[in-house]
Amino acid sequence: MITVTGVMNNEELYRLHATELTRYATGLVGPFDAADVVTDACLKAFESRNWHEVSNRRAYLYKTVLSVANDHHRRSMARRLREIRTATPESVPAPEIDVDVDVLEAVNRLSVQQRAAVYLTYWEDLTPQHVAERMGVSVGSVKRHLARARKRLGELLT
Amino acid sequence: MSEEMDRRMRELMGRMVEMAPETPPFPEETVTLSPARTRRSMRPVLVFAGAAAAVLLVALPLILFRGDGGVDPAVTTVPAPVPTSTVPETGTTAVPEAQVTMPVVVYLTQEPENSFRGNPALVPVATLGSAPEGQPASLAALRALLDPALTPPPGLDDTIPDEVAVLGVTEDGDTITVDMNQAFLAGAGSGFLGDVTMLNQLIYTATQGNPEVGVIFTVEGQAPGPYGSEGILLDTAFTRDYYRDEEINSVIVTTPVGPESTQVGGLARVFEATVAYEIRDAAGEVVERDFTMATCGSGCWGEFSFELDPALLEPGGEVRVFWNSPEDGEPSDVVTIPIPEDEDGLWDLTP
Repeated sequence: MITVTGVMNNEELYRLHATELTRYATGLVGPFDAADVVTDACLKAFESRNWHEVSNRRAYLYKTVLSVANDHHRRSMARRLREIRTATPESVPAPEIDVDVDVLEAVNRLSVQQRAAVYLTYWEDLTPQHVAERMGVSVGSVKRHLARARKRLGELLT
Repeated sequence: MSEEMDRRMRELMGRMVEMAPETPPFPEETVTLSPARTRRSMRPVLVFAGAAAAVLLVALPLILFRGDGGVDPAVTTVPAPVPTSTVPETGTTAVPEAQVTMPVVVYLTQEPENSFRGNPALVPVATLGSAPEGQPASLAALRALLDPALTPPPGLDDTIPDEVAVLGVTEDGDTITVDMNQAFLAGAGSGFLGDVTMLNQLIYTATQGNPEVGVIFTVEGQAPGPYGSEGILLDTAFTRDYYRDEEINSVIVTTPVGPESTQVGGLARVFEATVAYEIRDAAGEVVERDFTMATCGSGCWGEFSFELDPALLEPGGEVRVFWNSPEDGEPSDVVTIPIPEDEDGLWDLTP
C-alpha cells in the first residue's frame, strides 16, 4: 500500500482529483493512454521523496501528469490514429472508447506542451498566470504555446 | 475572428474531454515505472559532481588570480569558466553599430514517427540571422534560434522558453564559449528530457560551423550553477555527441533541405546501417523512395549522405529519413523535414 501521509492520505487525494486528472491526461495524450498516464503520474508523485513536503499537491499532480505525458507517451496518439486509419473493420474489435478521429487528428498536430496550454486555458478557463503555475513554466512560454497552437489549428478550425 | 477562434478551441477541448475514459482505480501497489529512468542512477554522480563544483567555485578565485593568471590543468579537469572581463569582447555590453545578416542553420525539434527509443529528433532549418559585424556566425544562429517570436515550420517544435537569451559567443580553437542569461539555467521547464533537448538545440546550433568543437556555457560571464530540473552540471565542454547515445533520435539529419541544399547528411545508429529516405510532394504522395548505407550500424553510429533530385523538392512537401524495422519493415524513428516555400530555401521563422 502507498504510505499514508499528511492530513489527507493519498487514496483520498486520488479519489478527489482522479477524474479531473484523467480529463487532463486525455487532453494531453488522447483517450487511449490517459488512464495509464494518470496511474504512472500518481505513483511517481506518491513515491517522490519530496511528496510529503509538497504544499499544493493538486498542482504537483498536474505537473507530474504533464511530465509523464511528455516523457513516455509522446507518439502514442499518432500511433493509435494510424492504427485506426489503417484498420479494416474485421481486423480490430470495436474500440471501447467512442473516438472522435477528427478531434484527435486536430489535437495530434500540437505538441504535448501546447495541448496542456490549450486544455488549461480553454477547458479549465485558467488565466495565463495560473496555466503557467499548473504547467511549471513561465507566462511567456504559455503565451507562446497558445500562439503556436492557434496557428497550427487555425487552418482546421476556421 | 479571435473570439470565434477561442470558441472553436473551447469546443475542440470539450470534444476531447468527452472521450475521457473511466477514471483508473487507485494505484495501490508500488510498481516500477516504465521506462526505468537510468538517469536516477546518475544522481550520486551528480551529487558528487555538485560537491566538486562547489569546492571548485570556492577555489576558483584563488586559481584564477594566483599570480601567473592561468589555470593549471593539473589542478582540475573542469574547463575554466570565462572570466567576466574577457566576455565583453563577444558583445555582452557594447553593441557595435553595424549588424550583419547572414544565412544560418538553427536546430528545432521533432517527435519522430514510430519512435523506437522515444527520444526527440533535431531538425536543422536554414534561416536568416544577424549579429554585430565581426562576430561569429554562431552568434547570429543562436540569436535566430532564441528569438522570442520564433515560430517553427509545420511539424517542428522548439523546447526553449522565450526568456532564454544569448549574451555573447567566443570561438577559441576547439571550444566555443556561449554566454547565456540567467533564464537559461531554468532549462526547458518540461523535465529532464526537455532540458537535454534544449541543450542539444543550443549545442548543435552553436557548432554548425565546426561540428567537432565543444561548447562551454557561461551565465552572465560566470561559471553556471546547476541547470534544469535535475541540476545538470555544466562543468565541461559539451560536444554534439555528449547526449547523443541516450537522449536523441537514432537518425540525426545535420543538413537543412531546400532547393539549394540537396545533399542530405547526418548520423544514424540503425539496423544494418541502412538509412531509408523518401520525398513527398505537397499532397503527401511519395515521389521518390531510396536508401543509403551509413558507415556503421546495428549498435554504432555511422555517417550517411545522399543526394536529392531538386526537381522533386516541391514547396510544401517533405523529406522523410528513417530506418526500417527488421520485425515488420515499418519505417522507424522517422525524421520529417519540411521543404521551404521560398526559392532561396530559407525559412522565415518570425512571420
